[in-house]
Amino acid sequence: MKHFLIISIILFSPTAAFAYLDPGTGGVLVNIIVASVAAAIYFIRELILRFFKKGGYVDNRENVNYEEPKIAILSEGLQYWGTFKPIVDALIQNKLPFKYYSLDVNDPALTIENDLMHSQFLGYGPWSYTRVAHIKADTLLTTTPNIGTKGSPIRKPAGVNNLMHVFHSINDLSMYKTGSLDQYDSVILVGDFQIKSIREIEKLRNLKEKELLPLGLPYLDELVKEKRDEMRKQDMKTILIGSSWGSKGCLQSYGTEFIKQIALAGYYVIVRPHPQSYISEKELIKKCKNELSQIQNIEWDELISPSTSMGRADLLISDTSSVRFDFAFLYEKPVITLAIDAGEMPGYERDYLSTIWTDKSSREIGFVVERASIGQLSKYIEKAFIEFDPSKICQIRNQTIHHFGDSGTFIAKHFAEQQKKNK
Amino acid sequence: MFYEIFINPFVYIIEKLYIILFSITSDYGISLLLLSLVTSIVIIFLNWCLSFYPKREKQIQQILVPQIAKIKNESTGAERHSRIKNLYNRYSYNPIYTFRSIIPFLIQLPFLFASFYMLSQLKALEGISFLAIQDLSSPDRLIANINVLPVLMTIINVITAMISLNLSRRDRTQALLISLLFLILLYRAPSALLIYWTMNNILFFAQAVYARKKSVNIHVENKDHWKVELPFSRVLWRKVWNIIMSQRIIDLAGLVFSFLVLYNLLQAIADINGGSLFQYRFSKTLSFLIAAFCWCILSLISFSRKYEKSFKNYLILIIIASNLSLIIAFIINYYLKIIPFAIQGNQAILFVTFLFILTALTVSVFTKRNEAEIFKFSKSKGYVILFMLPLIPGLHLAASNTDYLNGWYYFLYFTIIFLLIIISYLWAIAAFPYKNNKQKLLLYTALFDFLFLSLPIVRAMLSTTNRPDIDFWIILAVSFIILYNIKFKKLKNIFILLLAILLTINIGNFLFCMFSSDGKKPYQYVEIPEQLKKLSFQKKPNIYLLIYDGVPNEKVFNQQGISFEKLNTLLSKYKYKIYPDTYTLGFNSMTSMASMLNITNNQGSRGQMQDTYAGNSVANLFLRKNGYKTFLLLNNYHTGVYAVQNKKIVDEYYPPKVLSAVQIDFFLTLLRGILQGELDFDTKGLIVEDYNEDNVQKRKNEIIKMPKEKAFIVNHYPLPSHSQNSGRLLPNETELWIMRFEQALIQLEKDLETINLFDPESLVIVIGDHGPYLTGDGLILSSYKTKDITADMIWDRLGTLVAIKWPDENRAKKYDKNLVLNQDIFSVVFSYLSDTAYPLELMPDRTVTGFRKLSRPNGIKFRRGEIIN
Repeated sequence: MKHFLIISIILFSPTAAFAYLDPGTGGVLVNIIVASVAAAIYFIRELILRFFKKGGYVDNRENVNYEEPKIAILSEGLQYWGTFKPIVDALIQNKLPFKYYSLDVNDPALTIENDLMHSQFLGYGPWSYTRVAHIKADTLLTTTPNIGTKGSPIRKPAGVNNLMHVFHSINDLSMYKTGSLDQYDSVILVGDFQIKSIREIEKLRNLKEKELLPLGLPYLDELVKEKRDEMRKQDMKTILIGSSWGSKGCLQSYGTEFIKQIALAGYYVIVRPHPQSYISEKELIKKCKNELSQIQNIEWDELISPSTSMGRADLLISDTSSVRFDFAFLYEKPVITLAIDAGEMPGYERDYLSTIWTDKSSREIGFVVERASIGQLSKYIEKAFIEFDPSKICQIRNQTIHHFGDSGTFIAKHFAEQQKKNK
Repeated sequence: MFYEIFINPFVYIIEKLYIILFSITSDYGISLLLLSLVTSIVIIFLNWCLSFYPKREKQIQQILVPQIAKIKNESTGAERHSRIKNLYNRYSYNPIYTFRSIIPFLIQLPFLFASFYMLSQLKALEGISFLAIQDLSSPDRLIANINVLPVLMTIINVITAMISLNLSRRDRTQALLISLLFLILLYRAPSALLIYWTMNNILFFAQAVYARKKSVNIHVENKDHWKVELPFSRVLWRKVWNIIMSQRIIDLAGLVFSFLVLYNLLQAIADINGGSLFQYRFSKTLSFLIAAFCWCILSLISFSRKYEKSFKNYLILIIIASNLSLIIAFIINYYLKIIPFAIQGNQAILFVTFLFILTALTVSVFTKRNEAEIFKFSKSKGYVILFMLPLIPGLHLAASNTDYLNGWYYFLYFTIIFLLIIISYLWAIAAFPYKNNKQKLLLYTALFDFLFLSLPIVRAMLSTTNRPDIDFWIILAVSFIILYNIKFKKLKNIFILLLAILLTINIGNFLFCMFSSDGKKPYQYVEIPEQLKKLSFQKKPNIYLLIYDGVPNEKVFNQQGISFEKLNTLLSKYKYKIYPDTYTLGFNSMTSMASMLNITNNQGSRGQMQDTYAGNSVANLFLRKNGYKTFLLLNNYHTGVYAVQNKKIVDEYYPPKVLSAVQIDFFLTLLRGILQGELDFDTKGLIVEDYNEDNVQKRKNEIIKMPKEKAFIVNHYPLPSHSQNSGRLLPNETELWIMRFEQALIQLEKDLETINLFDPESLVIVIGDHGPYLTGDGLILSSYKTKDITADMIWDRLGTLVAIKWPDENRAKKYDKNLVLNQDIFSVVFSYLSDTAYPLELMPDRTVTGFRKLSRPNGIKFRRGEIIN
């Protein structure tokens, strides 16, 4: 009807045409009119409600008891929602007001309507980084490494007293780029195994000692909830290939030959690259898919959440990715690590550490296959199935991870105690 | 001011760029193409730079819309507003950001405004040809007077809209509508502008193809069940074909073409009386043929989908092939003129066209539908719309023509409208062979009737003349597409409410006009000028005013290569003084005669002119003041209902004027208008039953012969008249005029002989009221540029014969020296009769202004044979 009206109005107006539109923006005439009307209605309504203060209208600026939350969370986006969701849920449950800043318009946190949670999308590109720099809070919790380091677009906000880091994977500092945590004031530890690497770097660079909080890995809380034991779709045993992205990843380092080898050995294979690979390594993924397209018993998993694949798999093959530990600790199933040369990972903190935790821990949860032995991967797989002991994995898990499956609650309690102390 | 600040700089830049390109290429056309290329590259680059704005807006809308919907479901009033406001705050969004999506559009605007202004007015392009285009500053008229470039531009736009990535169905529909809208608006734009924009569109099309090819992987399964990638070109053509051959498009197109056939059939019926079929509306023939053919093909396609047997497919192929070959033969003949069109072409076309119509109707009737549903009358709001919508323009036209409609004729007028609605609905049922959605049929019929009845209004607003009705059919097709695609159910009540409001306004306006018509006011006689009031006639001969419609002066005869000899000889024989190079101030009979009888250059409304011609004129009243009796032998078209009201100031009207007779005549004129394709009152009227031209001439003869004194006799003979009003001259227009002139000459000779025998001492004025209109478009030259309108063309329209037999030539010589206009005649006659020069002061200004239109508001001034502006 609006098209008919508008066209009628135009047709019965003077005939001179003053503009022309290419088809891609052909509907803009209609959109302008509709948008103008919608915006005008919104503003008029806002003025009326503000002026007459009608029931149901809330304007926090007028609430004299309103207090700026002391806790703030900064998320880079949707891919880290798994890390922050347990914390957000716990803070709300504990009735602690907090702010949530996101750099991603698709962040699910922005859809939450709660009076305790003051969330805000910070915008696009450089403008968003500028806004990050102006955040004010007692504590700013983030999982983004490299804040404030040279070359990083995000600077440490001057208005933040305590920049706190929470991990989003089971790793020590060796898997972080150089200087990742130098600007942080406190760190939530996944486990005590991280203390050594953190302190070593502090000493090396003469940095102020960070406050280390043994509160666990909130990311695992969600995985524990999502854990499902899927029925195997095939009669064959299922091998999950979990690759990291970049130089750390086994797809880039080893290619697809080892995957073909496993498939031809009679296993059903699920290939799950890191979600970041679909953004940063499109050509590599496309190439790998083409190479593997002819083999029927290979499947690609592109979901954000790895839970489905992990539930279906009987064994995980990975590289430096912490998904190995997720798989082993959550599903109590065997893992094989493909060794990545240190030379293939320049610019990481591992260059400065005397020991690398993952070197030892990888062997505790499964086999480590060196590059020279990649041709015998099938044998390693068979061996892994035979020798695997779930109880041993549970023991390692309990020793490694603080508050496994309930980290969010403890983080929230920590903040609650802090606030009581400060009052 | 907007133009000076925002557009002028860009006009300057584009103009300079064009000049530079021309200096390199020395060809206006190629320079245009290069100019388009350069500006398109700039626009594409700027669009690319700023393309993230609309993408962001779209992304955020996709996120916000479901959340807003949820909020609206869960809350109302202030709470709803608060929640939405908080939602916007969370996303750092403001409703004003919606305008981000139009940033690419704003980038294009200055270029497009500038190119429009620059290319529309660039004098250097006047008369310059490029390839098959004769004049870059005019519409192209490449095929049978149809402008091809706008159609080409639209086709490219439509295809680009179909293949563009990331356009939703709604965006595509909007793009389609905008393309069609600009086809209407730019159909008569200069070719240079259309070449420029078509080239732009080709570049955008290429960009869309490239973007599509780059990002889309179309996979289909081959026989080995592997996914293989299809070539993009195959995907595109497959998609285009699927859309064209979808039943939806076939149904819509079939409906449009069927209405086109109905519309043109009415005109064919209208022209039966007028001589050779299709000759009156020559320009309609081709469109009628194509429409019938298309409707036939679409019906056959729909039919063949229902019935799969192969022999029917062969039958279809044979019918298509034979019809196509006949059409090709017609088109070839149209250009090469191998067979004289008037003799053989018409009959072949007729036969073929009725074959198509018969095929289509037969298929339509016999294709299975849910007939019970279609013909069952059930309560439906569609019926309300069917009758309400066309009434709106019907009331408007009735309110504007209260002179024609009196008393119970209003009732009859609206009955015609209802009959039109019912006939078109029944036709739609027959013509829409496949789908049986009654609601849609009702809407489409309502729309067609609305447009048909509004056509005179549409024409006036679009400043068109009686041309092939592409504007009507494009408006109809666009309207069909809109109606087909909108979710009408939700909007039905709003639509009906809107209709009710419009209808109420029009009813109010109509009633107001009806009850405040001229007839209700006290009648006022025209005032006799001061120069005449104190005069008295020395002599009082009988005065004959014999108007022979459309007879020009000798100059026009010579310009047209028609012999003036016979007319000259005849008039000289009876000692008529022929005044050379005379003309009139009015472009048609009514304006010419009304201003002549009032000795003025003012014309007034139609009603006022009819009142004047019916006796309430300076000439008639002054003569009556001096004891004359008046005999008006005029038809109802000229005198209107005033012939009934002015009986006191006229002694005899012939044909006799009874109110019902006048109304019947006008009513038949109205019917004729409908049959000619418009609900128009100003058409070639039909003679009232029992009175034809022979009767009128017979009565004139009797009056001439009867003994009388001081009689003023006026007769307006309808021949030779002007060319037909189609807006395009027939190939044999002049020959047809000569035939009619020969007939008029016979009548003239008879009249002069009779007057000479029975009333030799009378004063006889023989005039033409306007010219023959045998040049240009045979009409008001609306599409002609000012520089193309010559003095000869104006003579062709305004040049008139003025020949007077004075009882005393010597006396006449004292006063007729300055007789140049028809409008001078009565001041000269009154000077002659009173033997004083005072009436000569009434002679009006010799300047006539005409050919006004939107882009020529001051018109063209003509004076004594020269164009003076």
